[in-house]
Amino acid sequence: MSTSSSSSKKIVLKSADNETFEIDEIVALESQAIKNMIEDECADNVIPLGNIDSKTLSKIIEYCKKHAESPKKDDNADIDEKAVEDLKSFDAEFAKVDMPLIQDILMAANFLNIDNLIGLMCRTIADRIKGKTPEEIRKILNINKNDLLSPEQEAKAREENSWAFD
Amino acid sequence: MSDEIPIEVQMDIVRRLPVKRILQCRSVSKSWKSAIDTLYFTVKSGVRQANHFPYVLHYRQGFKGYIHYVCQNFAFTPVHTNFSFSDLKPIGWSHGVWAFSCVRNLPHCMVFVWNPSIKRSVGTLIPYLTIAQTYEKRLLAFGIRPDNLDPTILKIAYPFKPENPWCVLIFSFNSKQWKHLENEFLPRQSIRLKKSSQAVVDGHIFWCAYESLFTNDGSEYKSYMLVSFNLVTHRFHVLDIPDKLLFQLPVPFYVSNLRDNVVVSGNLNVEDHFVFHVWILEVVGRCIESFKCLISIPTPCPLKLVGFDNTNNPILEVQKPEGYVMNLVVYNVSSGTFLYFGGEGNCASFFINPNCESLILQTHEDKTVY
Repeated sequence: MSTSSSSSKKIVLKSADNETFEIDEIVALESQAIKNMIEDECADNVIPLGNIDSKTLSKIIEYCKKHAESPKKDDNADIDEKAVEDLKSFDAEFAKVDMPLIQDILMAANFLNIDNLIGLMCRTIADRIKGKTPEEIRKILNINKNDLLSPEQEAKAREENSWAFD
Repeated sequence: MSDEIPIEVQMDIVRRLPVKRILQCRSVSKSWKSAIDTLYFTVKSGVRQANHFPYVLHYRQGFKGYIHYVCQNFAFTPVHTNFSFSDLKPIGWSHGVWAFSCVRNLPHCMVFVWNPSIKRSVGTLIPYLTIAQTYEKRLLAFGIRPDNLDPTILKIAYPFKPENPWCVLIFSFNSKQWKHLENEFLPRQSIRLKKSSQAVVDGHIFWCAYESLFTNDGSEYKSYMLVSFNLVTHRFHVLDIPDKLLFQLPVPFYVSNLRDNVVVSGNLNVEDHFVFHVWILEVVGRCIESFKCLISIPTPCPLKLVGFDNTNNPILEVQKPEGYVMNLVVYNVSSGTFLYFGGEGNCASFFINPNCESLILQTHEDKTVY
């Protein structure tokens, strides 16, 4: 990994609960949103993230660190398979957390625009709701009660694809 | 689910599920249902190869039609549907969706498209605007427009008088409307398309076509070509066949596809037997850039290409020795052997296509006829 001059520059992220995290700029650049801020020169030394708590933010930084350290596909055409495998098993371990935290990470990854992490969280949630009934999915994802279909609407939705519920 | 996760991202989760599960997710919540029931979501979800049963097979036996799923070892499983196949004739296949013409309700001819993965079939009545204008031969064609997955039906009518242009009508299931195609989009009016086969490759429908021409001494002959229809721009194009290929090609030839390539095939009559040929074409823009002979099999009776298995071996329709009943066989190219895989059906009635999953037609109510 080429870390040259950029490794020296630091960025400070501040969570909703006012905890600060000092990280290498190269790690912060995993976030497209932060990258845009830096490029547009509208980032101060401290970037406040008012909607991300410290627990979620430290997970996100853990992810970005690992991915920033790993060789990128466009760096080198024949990137070694071991690094790919290593990253895969890191991702698998990383996703072994409870559903509320997964949703928090997804929300934050979406806010910070970290494509790979959005994909990883979506895959993880999809795996957890695969094979579950709509009732179970509502429970797992804690779907807002106000968003539920009326019994009539739900009966109609089932009726339209009754075979899919067999 | 937190409201802070935009519905777009939530749908990113849902579209990773198998289509059957996606349909179940319509009853999870109001916002999920309304997001799933959009063409946008259908397009985003795309088309993928189904996990079980790699192929769907249609054939006719006597007056009855059959549809089966076919698995890797060529065992059949009947497809359960809420309609009968007996009055149906396949028009074409694209992106996992089948189109049939149905003449049950004469004088109306109906075309209906069927997505087996979500068990949805939706039809449209073919308008006969042209009867009074003494138009004669008609041809129906079908393809899914690649950029918005819009199932598209083409009705082409040729005039009696060759000086009159074709009359082409297009139906789009997304817009639910028939539209008349302007003359500037049409090919030379003297061209005729062969009904027997069509293939959809790279956003174009392809046909075998010909034009009747006259030699200097006044005798008539047919000049063969490929014609394509661009499902996005709605333009027809004529693709000349390179002389080197035309010279060896049995005409009329049969058009099909091997994944993303156009394939032409046919039987050449050689003394007391036939040689069955399959060529794979490389079409770039509006030209046949190159061609390659894929298979050449000497055979006592003509063969017909029905499709390919997952190792690119051709699946063929073969006449049974005792008469007019046909069988399906796989020809193993490397060993030169035939593997019989059952199904006795009428001549030229076999159609086999990959089994794909998609939400195409999901926004339509089942069995609607427009």
